[in-house]
Formats: sequence, C-alpha cells, structure tokens
Amino acid sequence: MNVLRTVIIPTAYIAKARIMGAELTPAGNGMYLSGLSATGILPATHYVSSGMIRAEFAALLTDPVALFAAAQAGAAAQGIAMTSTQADANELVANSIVHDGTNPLTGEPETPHELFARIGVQLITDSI
Amino acid sequence: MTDRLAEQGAVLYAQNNPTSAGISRLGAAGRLQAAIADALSNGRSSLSASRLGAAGRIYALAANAGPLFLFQASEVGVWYDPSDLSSMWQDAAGTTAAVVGQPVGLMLDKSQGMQLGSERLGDLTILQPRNANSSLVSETSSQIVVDSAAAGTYGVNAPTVTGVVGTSYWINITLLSSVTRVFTVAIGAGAKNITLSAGVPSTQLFLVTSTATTALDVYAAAGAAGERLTVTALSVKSIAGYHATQATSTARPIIGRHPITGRRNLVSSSVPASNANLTATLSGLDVSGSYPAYNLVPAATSAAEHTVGWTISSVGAGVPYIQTVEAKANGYDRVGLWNQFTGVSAVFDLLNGSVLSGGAAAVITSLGNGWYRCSLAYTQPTSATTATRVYVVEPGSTVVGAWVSTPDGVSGILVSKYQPELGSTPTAYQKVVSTYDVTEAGVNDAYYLDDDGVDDAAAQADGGGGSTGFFLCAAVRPDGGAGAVRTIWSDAGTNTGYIVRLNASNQLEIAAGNGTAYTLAATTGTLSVGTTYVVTAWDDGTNLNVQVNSGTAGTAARPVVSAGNADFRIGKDYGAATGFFNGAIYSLVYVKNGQNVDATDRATVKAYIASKAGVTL
Repeated sequence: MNVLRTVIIPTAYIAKARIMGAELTPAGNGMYLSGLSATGILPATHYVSSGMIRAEFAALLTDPVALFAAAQAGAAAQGIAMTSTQADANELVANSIVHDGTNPLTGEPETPHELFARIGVQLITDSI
Repeated sequence: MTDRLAEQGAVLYAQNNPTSAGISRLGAAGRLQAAIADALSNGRSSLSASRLGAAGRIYALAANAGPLFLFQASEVGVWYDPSDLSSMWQDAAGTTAAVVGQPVGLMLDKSQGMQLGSERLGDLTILQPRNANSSLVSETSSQIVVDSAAAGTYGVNAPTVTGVVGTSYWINITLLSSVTRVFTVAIGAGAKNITLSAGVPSTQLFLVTSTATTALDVYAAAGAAGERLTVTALSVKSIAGYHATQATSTARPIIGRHPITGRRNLVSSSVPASNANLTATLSGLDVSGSYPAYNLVPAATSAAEHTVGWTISSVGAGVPYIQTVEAKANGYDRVGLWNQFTGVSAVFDLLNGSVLSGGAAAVITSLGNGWYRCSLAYTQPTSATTATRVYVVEPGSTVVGAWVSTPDGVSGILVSKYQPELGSTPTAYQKVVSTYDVTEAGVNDAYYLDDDGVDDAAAQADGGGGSTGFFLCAAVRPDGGAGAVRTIWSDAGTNTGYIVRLNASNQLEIAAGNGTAYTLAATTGTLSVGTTYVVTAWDDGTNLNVQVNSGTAGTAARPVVSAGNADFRIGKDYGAATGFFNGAIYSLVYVKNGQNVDATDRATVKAYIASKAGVTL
C-alpha cells in the first residue's frame, strides 16, 4: 500500500537525509533534490520530496529508532556501506516536516503547494 | 515489388518499395501509411475499408490506429500511452503492474510495438560458475547448482549472453539460496538486487536496461563458504523501444483517469465518511443496481446534527452549483442537503416524494422502488473552499439541522451517487474513487500521468540527442504553476538540444540550442490552469514551430542545432531539479530527428492524441 507524504528537510541536514534515503531502499535514492526558499530563488533553505511511498516507509519518518534500524537493514540488503548513525536519524526526524496531505490546522486536504504557501516557502524555479 | 502489407497495431503499411516514389507516391520511406484518426479528421470516408488519400497514402479503417505509422521505418522516438495499463508499471523494474491512483515508475515505449525479442538463453546449460569461488555441483538444461568455496563473490554467469547498450530486457528468473542472501541479476550493467530467504525459492520478473556490454551475471557479492545457489529457470528477452523510468519513489507521477467528456463531480471521494454522530455503512446497491448505497445511521448516543460532509474547491464567487443525492427511507424518511456560506438548505420527504423546505431550488424526483433523486441548487458567494452536507433529519421536522432526538442506532437513510457540480441542472453521475479515479457509465476514460510540480518526472536513457529535426505531440493539462516555467520534454545540455515547455508567460515554447544560445519559438496564446490542450512542437528542418490545439503556430527560423544529451527527461528540466511540470500529461509522442513528420502526419497524431484526452481541436 502506498500513501502520500511530503517531506521537507532543512538544508543543514540534507546530506544526511539523502544518504539515509539511499540506505533505506534503492527507491529512496535521488530524494530531496527540489529546493525551497522564502523567495523562490537560490540559495535553498530547505529541500523537498513529495509523492507516494510505501506505508511502511511512511511510518519511519516520525520514528528515529525505526528509521535507523530500517536504514541498516536496507543498506545490508543492497550491499552498500552504512554510514548513517542513530544520531543522524534523530536529527532528521526532529527537524523535518512530514505532511500527509492534510492541513493539521483545519483537517482539510492540502496540496504540497498549499503547504509551501502556508509555511512561507516557494519552489526554486531557476532554469535555463 | 517487395511491398509487404501487414497489420501491425491496426496500421496497414508496406516497406521497402523501391518504386514507390515514381509510381504510387508512397512517400519517402516507401510506406503505405494508414491511420483512422487522420481519415476521420480529414473527412476521408470511414465507411470504406481503405481508400487512397490526397497525399498518395492509403488510409484504412482501423480501430485505434495510433501513431505507430511514425515509427514503421524504425525511427527513434517514443509513444507513451497511459491508457494502456499493460505498458505502465508502478516501479522502475516493472515488477508491479500499474493501478489507477498509484505511482508509475516505468513507462514502456509503444513506438516499436513493445515487441519481445527472441530468447537469449536456449537452456540453462549456457550458464556456468562465474569464478573460481563458485563450485559447480550439478547442471542440466533446467537447473544449475553452485556452491561457494570460500567467503566472497560467487554465482553463475553466461559469458555469451551480453548486453546491448540501450536495450531493455525482461528477465524472468527462479532461484533458491541455502541462506538468506542478496543476489544481483545483471546484464550490461543493468541490474536488480533480489533478497532471498533461506530455502525459499523465488521467481522474479523484472526489466533492466543495459548501459554496457557486460554479460549476464547472477551472483552474491558477499557470500560465505559453503553456501549454495540453485537456478531453476532463467529467461532473458529484449523488449524493443525507448522506455522511461523513475527510480525514486516519491518522484513518480500518479496514473489517473477521468471521463473523456471531463470531470464534473467535485468530491474527492464518493464514499460518505462516518463520524462521531453518524455511521455510513456500505449497504447494498442503488436503484439501478450498479452503484453502492450507504446506510447513514445516527449514533444512538448522539445529540448533535446527523450529517456527512464533503469539502469542495470553489471555482469562484457568483457561480451556480447544484448538489444531488439519491436517497431511500430506511427507518428514517427525511433527508436534507446543505451548503456552507450560502446556508441554502432543503429537506425532502422520502415517503411521499415531496420537498418539505428549500423552495424552488430543491427538486425531488422518484426513481422507483422507494428511491428518490434529491437536488439543491445555489449560487456560491465565495471562491473559498466550501463544505456540502447530507443530513438525516428529525422525523416531522423541516429544518435541515434538526437532529434525530432519539436515535435507535439502527434506523437510517440509504444514500447513493452524491454529486455536487457546477451548473443548475444535475447531470449523469460520475463515480469518484479518488482524485485520480473518476468514471462515468457509458463514457470512455481519459488516462493521464499526474506530475505534482514538486519533483515528479521520468527519464529515458538513450532516445535524445537529435539535431536535424524534432517532433513532439502530447495532451497536457496544467494544474498549477502559472507564471513559472514548466517543462514537458528536454534533452538540453548547455545551449544544446531541444526543450518543450510552458514558459513563464504561460505560452507553449520550443527551444533549440546551437551550442551558444537558444532560439525560441512560442505561441501567442497562453495555456490556462485546469484546461486540457494538445500541444505540438516540431523542427521541420527550416523552422521551429509550436502549436496549441489547432491554433496559430508560433514559428522561428531554426538554428543549426547542436545535439543535446543522448537521454531525455519528461516533466522537468534536464540536469536540474527545476521546471517540474504541474499537471496531467496524457499520451505523448516524440520523434527524434523528426523533420520528416509532415503536416498530414502531424494532423493524424494530433487527432489521435486529442481523441485520447477528450480535447476538441
């Protein structure tokens, strides 16, 4: 079963988030590439991924102990070196925004773009 | 005469006709091209089995001809077709079939007919121990068994079965490990890891794309001494085409469908949601016997309004709406409808089919067998998101908010087919399973891939890099991001290659780079959020062109195009996490070096794409 999640990570933690995403599963490789900032221009203050993920992975996003354990198992299954630590998982869970498609203030459906507006960030749109 | 007349995807064609140019004007490639969409859109008789078109082509009546004719001479390009679920998969490896409302990680290209190649393995005797650490235990035509002699990598391989760069392969393998272990199955550097549980055989079907010429290899990277691998089945077949993938789960678009005539039902789900004061339970079918009915039962201990609600996004102030529900008495006999902001409400009697309150805006119609269609019209005074509700009303009351004073926890009202919509007259019901799954009886579905405008996109490995021409046609519906660049297709490097996008002025734009700068051509008109368009972009060797539906094309003289990247992206900028498309992309057709796609071909493809998306050109 897949569920919708939008995850926003402050830039200070983005390297750790990307590493841990890749350790969890091959499908977690390549997350958190879209930048966010208050003005929509560089530099990015946050990075975001949004979309369907398996429910078991969604549950990890708010549980640092389970997150770290799953990352260890995922890295082993992929045969890659595990570099993340429990402290990394603690920091990520403590500092990330995990959104399930509902505005927690109103209980109403909320798109990722509506979430961005509510918390005062915009997608960085620099392009050629 | 070496003409070959065949049916392939309902397209009639002939190849290799050396006399075509001089005698029968069969086109530069000597092909007899046929496309029903073109025949219909250009007024050619659809009743005759085939006839000669004005350009010397034979047009044949054939269902669902599609754009295959563009690729009959093995032109490089793609045809991605979300309406063909057999070509869509949830994951990039093609192990889980696509389902409406779920993500898509693999789009098989249909331009080459998704033809499977011949089996690369005759039988399993082609396999051998892959290295000195792999000890052969036994081998037959249907099984090979190897043990690891020591700690380290071990397994089997087939040195003569090598990958072809850019070729995708369906691999079907059954293997068994004596211990719980991760095995890698690879060909041409395309690989998949399979986690085996000790003693449990596993059969896996998946797709890999070769990026090198290395041989088929099945191995554990870090085995222990004395482990055993058994392979009992292995098939490797190429699948023609330029398939697109998205390896990152959160970046996969979601496949959706809606009636081809458009979506009208504004709810996000047709299922009423239970709450503390009322339970909504699936309870049989509606009067037609086709749709689920729900029993709305006030909670026995509840002393509050007994209602179920939906949230809908308003399209603006002053717009007429109407909400409709089919209802039947099931212990209680008064049902109410209500709208936020207007406060407009109505109460209906489900025993005698009368309107008890609500005035002329409320209408009740008998459907037979005790069922009634109840509707309430109102004019939305605000553009804010609004709420609509269905009530179970206190017996004897004409006030929508009057709750049942002594609910027994059993009695209720049956409701079905709830539909708030724009307009002042109820229309045919549209079933809403989710935002991505809306259907209507008797109406064909339009399928699309929904890009969220945040990170959704797809990548194709080797179909880009054209420089002598270009053709792309797709149906798109922007759902947001007005004023921002939203890329549909790109193989752009640094001032090289092609880009098709909605620019910051909301125009359709093609960009072609000469290595120093981009030349742009854009439409004069703009594309609006919420509307579906057929967009066409082409480089005919003379000009860059873009066109929305059948509008005036935007044109600019082409530069000497410097080829972009060998791969391309759909739904984002190439090489940057920007330009994400926000909205729906229906069928998409692209031809690399497509300068020979002429006006007739373009019209044929446009008509087909339009027919799949419900666009009137």
